[in-house]
Amino acid sequence: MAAQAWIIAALPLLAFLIIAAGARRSPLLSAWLTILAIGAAALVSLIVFGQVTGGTRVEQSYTWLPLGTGQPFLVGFQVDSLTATMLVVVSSVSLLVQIYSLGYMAGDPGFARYFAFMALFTFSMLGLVLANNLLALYIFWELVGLCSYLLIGHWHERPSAAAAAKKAFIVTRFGDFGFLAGILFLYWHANTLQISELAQKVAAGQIPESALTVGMLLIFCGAAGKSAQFPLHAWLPDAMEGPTPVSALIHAATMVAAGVYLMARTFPLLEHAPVAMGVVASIGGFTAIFAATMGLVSTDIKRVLAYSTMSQLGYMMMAIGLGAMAAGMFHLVNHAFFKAMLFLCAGSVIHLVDTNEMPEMGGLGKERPLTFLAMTVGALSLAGIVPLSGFWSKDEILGAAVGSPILFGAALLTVFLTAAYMFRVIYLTFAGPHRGQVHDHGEPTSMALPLVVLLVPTVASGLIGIPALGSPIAAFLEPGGAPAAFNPVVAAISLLVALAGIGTATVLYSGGKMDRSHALQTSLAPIHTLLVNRYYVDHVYNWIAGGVVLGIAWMADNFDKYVIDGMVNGVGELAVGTGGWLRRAQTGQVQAYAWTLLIGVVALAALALLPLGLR
Amino acid sequence: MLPEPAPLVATLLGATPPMNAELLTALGFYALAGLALAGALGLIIASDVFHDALFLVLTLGSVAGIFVILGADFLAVVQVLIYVGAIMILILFGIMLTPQLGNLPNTGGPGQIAAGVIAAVAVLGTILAVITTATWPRASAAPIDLPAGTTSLLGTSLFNSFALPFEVASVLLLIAMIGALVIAREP
Amino acid sequence: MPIYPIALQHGLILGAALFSLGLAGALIKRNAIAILMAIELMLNGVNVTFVSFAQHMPGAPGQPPELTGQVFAIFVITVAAAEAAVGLAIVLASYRLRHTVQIDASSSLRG
Repeated sequence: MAAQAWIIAALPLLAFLIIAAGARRSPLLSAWLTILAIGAAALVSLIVFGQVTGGTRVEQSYTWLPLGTGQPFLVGFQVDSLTATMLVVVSSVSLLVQIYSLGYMAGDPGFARYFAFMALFTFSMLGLVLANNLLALYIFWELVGLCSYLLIGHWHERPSAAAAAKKAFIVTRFGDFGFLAGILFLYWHANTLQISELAQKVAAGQIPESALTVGMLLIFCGAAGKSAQFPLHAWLPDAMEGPTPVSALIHAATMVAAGVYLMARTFPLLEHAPVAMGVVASIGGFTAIFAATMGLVSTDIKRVLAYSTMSQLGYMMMAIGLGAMAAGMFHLVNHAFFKAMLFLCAGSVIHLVDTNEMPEMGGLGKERPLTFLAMTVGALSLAGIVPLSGFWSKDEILGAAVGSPILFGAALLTVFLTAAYMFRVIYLTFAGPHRGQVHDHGEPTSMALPLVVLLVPTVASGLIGIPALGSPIAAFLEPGGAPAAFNPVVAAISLLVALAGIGTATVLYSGGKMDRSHALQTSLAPIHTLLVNRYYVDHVYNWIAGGVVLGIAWMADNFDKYVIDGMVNGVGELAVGTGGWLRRAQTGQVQAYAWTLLIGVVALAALALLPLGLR
Repeated sequence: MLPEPAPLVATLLGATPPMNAELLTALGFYALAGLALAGALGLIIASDVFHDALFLVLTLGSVAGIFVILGADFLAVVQVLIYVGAIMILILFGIMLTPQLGNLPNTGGPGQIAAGVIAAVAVLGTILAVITTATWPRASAAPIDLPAGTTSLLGTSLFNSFALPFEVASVLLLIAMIGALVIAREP
Repeated sequence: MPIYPIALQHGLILGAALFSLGLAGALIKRNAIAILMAIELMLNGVNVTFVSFAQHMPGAPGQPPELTGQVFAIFVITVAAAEAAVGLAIVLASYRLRHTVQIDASSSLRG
């Protein structure tokens, strides 16, 4: 089955094509086509995963574009431990999100379109994971970006959604530009885009370290764009304009994970470029704490989760930058499950109160006990409370960061902040009395079922990385690598910090009350303003876009208008003016013409005579 | 340098060679040349078109005489017949048929006169420069010995070497006649 | 008949002078018919030049001269006659249109 792994990606594509070809007229058929295709893909993924754990490895390439005497451009797919892991995560989370969407999106006028794009997105992401070649990967990478644009802008009649979709597309384009430049740069130096060949050449020292560093930093630009790392993070919070299941799938579990996956996929290259690794780790660590602080003050439940996603992605990046690729991927897997679940919970809550604003929620635990339970478990897992999955992966990352005090400190602070903002969400949403309207139209089974299913990995997916069991995922992803030793001191510290975070949230928000936090807000008003305004990064970007870029555009426009057009018009006016001036020579007087003619003849004769010499 | 017309110079210097036919022809040439130029000048200066025509007749007649001196007796006859006899009559008819209303100036303004004089002087200067600087292989030799009447020689040339141009000229004349008729016809 | 040799250049200078005077007249005069007459003057200057040259152009060895210059003069006279006829016809037509033969009245070619 692994040799035909391309089927996994092909199935959702097929669903998309069928929906696009005509099935879209029946929304329900479209939805079930997507669910069936992705379900089948998930099944095949599981089978492939099983084969890969049994030792199967597949890599197939096909010539796409012969290039004269040079190496042709190849496309192909590969199945190894990394791919298999991602295939399972992507297809299973996608499947659950599709099922959830069945209930959440019911009655939406764009129902069929939504599922078509979901299928296309799943195809792109699975293709990205399967690609064995940077160029093919880049193609899927862009497809993912496109689907993200289409899905964020699903409610395109809302100006804010349309703007958010554009913003996501444009901001990630910045990173993608770096990615493409990195691909070209690596091709120039290594003459191949096959990831395995690149890895071999790097291992053999055939690529100078400086070139590798530049190439990997450029590729990291792409990863930073997709994974919303500072300074290309600005799109992710706005992307919450999309439907909540889209946020769950794209902006929590899979698409933003593409950046982390890319760094893991190119890890054999990255690990030979220490400078690039340092950059990746620093940016990851900075983003982790940077995003977490913003998550503390946001009142939009989805945005808090979005900041949390950014923060956790920063964690993963930091882990990879520190060389703990397996730890990063382990966290990615865990995060994909519990973050998808948290988003689905948020969707469930939003479905109930028709608003994203937490100050208008409160006391929803009575209406949605299952959501309350799932969200609390998810929050505990995210905060890193033993024995939930988040604890194990976070602990591994912390263990990897022990060597560098600054990053370790940042990571610990992030743990504290994460716990605090997650329990702020829990208290504000579920505890205390209702603060706003509740429209209970009942929760469809299709929405409840994925929560239950996702609870299982949220609790248990940590098992695959428990050091006591030999940390199977590390052995799987990095065979031969030394498994991270369990560091009880670090574990205890992180647990204490997380509990302190939960305690802080409890002090400020217990019973869903907001008065204490308001008091804190007023006493720390400048910091609060700074955080609410997201450190003014968006303002700076808008200033750059509005001031600098538009200024340059204004200058270019004027240059075009006055210099270029001026030259063109000037040529015409010169001709007209000269003509008008010369026109006066055309007096209509025949004698004047004859006179001119004669003077010309005399001048020519004189010219002819001069060389003869007038003797 | 111009070869000197020695006998004339000698006469003017006071020498007394016999007044022979050669001296008379030389005197005749210069006299006729002077008349022709005077007529041309008069044509330019005269303010009346009719006077212009009379000055032109003077010049044409003088040129006919010069043709005789230069050994082109047949041409001289043709000159008188066609120019004086035909073209001048035509021009006089033209003058008659286009009566001028009022007393319009016959020449242009000072600027036009100056321009015309400048152009004429420039052309004359150029041609004189060519004449004086060019190498004339036969300039110092005597003119070729022309028979008493050139008519038969011209006839031979016209109907042998120049038969085609001759025919073309006749076609040209026909065309000019028809064209003149068409153009001048009352519409 | 021996003819006293008038030097070639003298004939040429006379022709040039007539030509230039005719040119001056053609440029200065305003009456179209006067201009035509001036042009006839120019043609005569050319003819004098041709005839002067004819006097200095011998025929092939043992042959009588061909008098090419005089033949050209005949053609010039022919053309002059044609030109006078057509030119006067044009003047008449123009006069009929504008009721004047002043050449500066005909400036409809002005740009």
